[in-house]
Amino acid sequence: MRVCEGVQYQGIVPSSKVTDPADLFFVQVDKSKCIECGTCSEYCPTTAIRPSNGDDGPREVVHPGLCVACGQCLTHCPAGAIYETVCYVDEIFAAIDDPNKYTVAVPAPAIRYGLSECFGYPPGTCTYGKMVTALRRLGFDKVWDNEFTADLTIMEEGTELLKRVTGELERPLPQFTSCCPAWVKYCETFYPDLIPHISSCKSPIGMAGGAGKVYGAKEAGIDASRMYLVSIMPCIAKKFEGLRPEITGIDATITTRELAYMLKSKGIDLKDCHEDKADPLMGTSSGAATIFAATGGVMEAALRFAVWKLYGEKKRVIDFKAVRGLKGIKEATVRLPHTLKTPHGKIRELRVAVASGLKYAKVLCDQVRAGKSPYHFIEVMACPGGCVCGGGEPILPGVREAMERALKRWYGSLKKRLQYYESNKLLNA
Amino acid sequence: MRLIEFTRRQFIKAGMIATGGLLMGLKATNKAYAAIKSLADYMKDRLKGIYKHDREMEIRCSQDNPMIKYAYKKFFGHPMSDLSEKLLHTEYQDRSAIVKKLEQEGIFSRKAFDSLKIGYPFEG
Repeated sequence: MRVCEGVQYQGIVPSSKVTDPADLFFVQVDKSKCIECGTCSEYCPTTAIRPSNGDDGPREVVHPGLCVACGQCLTHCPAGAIYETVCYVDEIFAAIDDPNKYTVAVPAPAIRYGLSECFGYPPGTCTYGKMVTALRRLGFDKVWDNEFTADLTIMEEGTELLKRVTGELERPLPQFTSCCPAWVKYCETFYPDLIPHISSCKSPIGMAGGAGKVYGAKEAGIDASRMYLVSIMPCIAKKFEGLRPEITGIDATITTRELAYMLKSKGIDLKDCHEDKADPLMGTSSGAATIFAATGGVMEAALRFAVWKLYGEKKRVIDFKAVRGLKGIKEATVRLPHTLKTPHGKIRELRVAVASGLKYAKVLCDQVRAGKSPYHFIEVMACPGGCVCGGGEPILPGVREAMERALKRWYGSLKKRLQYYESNKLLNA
Repeated sequence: MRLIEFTRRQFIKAGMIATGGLLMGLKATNKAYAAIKSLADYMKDRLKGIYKHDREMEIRCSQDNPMIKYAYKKFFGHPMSDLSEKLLHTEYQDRSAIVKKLEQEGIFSRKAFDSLKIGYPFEG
């Protein structure tokens, strides 16, 4: 198995003819490493990861149909026992070397905040310019930005929301966001009756696949049949989404960790890269797109658009601080103009909610199912904290320490362990 | 003959080792607790980085992005036009059949699913 940033990869490359990616495992437990602490089960929103026989024993993902591939178990396992099964790294290296393929990199908003940690920057450092240079040095023919399609998502999803509110579109309220593939699979599997509530918009990377190979290829003069589009995501579930038959144009999906591995294996250090910009055609973006990486970000971006659409240039609101932060469920209201006609004239204010983590989304889903939801627009992100804390991001320093401690417990002498604790004390202070 | 025989000195020695072990154990537990506590702080650091970058961006709203305006003018027409419905919108599928099947086989329990604790360990 290959190890990328402390996480193991089995390296299965599913063929593009897979009929249903829901039959595939995306994460699995190495039973020989499992210390049976149960942390994974506490993070799992679907009971998919649990002891294989009865109440005790090593954990495993019991069935791929139950797992939404959010990867929260993997990023919180203190023993580093959970590994990813699907890995496109070799295929991407081959595509970069293939002169007949035109390789395009599309990095998600959260990559520029996560990749920095793999190269020794403190958490939260934005390395947009350096990341673009690193991708070019890796050999990609073109670097686009998923933030451009995040802006495109807001234009489409915001418009859809207002059309639902005004009754122009006969679809039910509340509208759910559709950016998170783990959430979409969760809803399809456990709340199929709520599917009409999900926005019909593809996720930003879905749009990059659809628009990139038609609009992007046409405008940039690239032969679409030669184009090899790589989606770089902070997410394991995006590998599932990339294989969905409804989503076209995505040839490979890798996580932040795998990108860091690819850069390091080619000897590219982010710290040596100069500042650069993505190709403007599908690489120009706004602040509304960059906050997609955080919980509440899609909501805030949509509200920036909705307020502008409803009130025009004069009354512009940028910051919606009520939807920011790590709280499980966040709420906000936006007053609608008196002139806006809604069916039956009932909606006077737009009530929105944000779920940070699928366990909190369940509360909101149960409300909608019971017909008691007070909201009109709900954002759901499967990972607590949003994409930047996603299943494909570098392991958080706190968990990484625990993983290393678990290793040291077996080999380290007492003296070494004491030294380790002391140095850790300084780090944590 | 007794199998285990302690002299006074040995008893005190054993007692001291046990106390030492207990204290070491406590220290390690504290350490583990502190590591879990700081998880949320690391997550907040990441979020802060995002909002800092947002404040520094020249353009703050999607509708002001010049290349978005260009894309709609040149290609898509307007949001939710026929072309954008074709390329940017999608459909979803009902995947609940597998849940029903697994429920019958005893692999999935709706009751366990519904009684999952709301909240995550990092919240303390």
